Amino acid sequence: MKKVSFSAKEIISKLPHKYPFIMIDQAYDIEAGVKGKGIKSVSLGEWYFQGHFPTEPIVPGVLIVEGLAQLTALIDSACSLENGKEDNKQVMGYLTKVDIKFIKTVVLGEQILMSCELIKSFRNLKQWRVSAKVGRRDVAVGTLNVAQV
Amino acid sequence: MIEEIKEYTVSRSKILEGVKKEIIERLNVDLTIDEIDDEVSLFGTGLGLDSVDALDLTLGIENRFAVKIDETDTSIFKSVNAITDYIIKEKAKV
Repeated sequence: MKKVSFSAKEIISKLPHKYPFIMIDQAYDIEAGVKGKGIKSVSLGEWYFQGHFPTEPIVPGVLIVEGLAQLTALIDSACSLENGKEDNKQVMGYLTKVDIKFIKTVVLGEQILMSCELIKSFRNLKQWRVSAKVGRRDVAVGTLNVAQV
Repeated sequence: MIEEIKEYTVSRSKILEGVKKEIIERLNVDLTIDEIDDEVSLFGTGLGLDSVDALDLTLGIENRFAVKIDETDTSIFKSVNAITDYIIKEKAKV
């Protein structure tokens, strides 16, 4: 299957989310509707570090989950490319279930490598196997259920 | 013939129990196997499940019974009996 990549600019046009809630910088190795990878570089300018935490900047786990969920939306959005439809169609998905184990904290300066793969699709619901790593080490693994409307 | 009927009944009961276990364990339904009526409606006013539970239940049924759920057939999730009948029908095809 053909693999596609999305730059930060393309991600902004594809996701319904906007600043400051885009939690993924790049997406690559995307097989439309099936799987893909993404990167989020954690910089000093992240808005959440103001309070989480002022003396110890840690990426909130829920925002890692949000990044993974946004990656699943990008994987689905690639289907419109495959079908030859407009390439800037936004996919709106709602998380219906989160089953994630957090293994390690992510701190300022680290790069999160995200990975999502479709487990099962049922009507407008999809279950994804997801993982986030820093280097070779898992920081979060589990499954996400997403409903598309 | 009687033996065959007995065998079928035992087999059906096991599947029915397995379906109830999936509902309880996968969907965190706070009931026991005996408290779930075979004919109770799974969604809405029955067990109170909703459409987002259908994905988890589908995965559970497919993994436990090695059958494929037809997502276009809306009658499968009508009740525990309906799911059980569907599993038996699908297994007979193999």
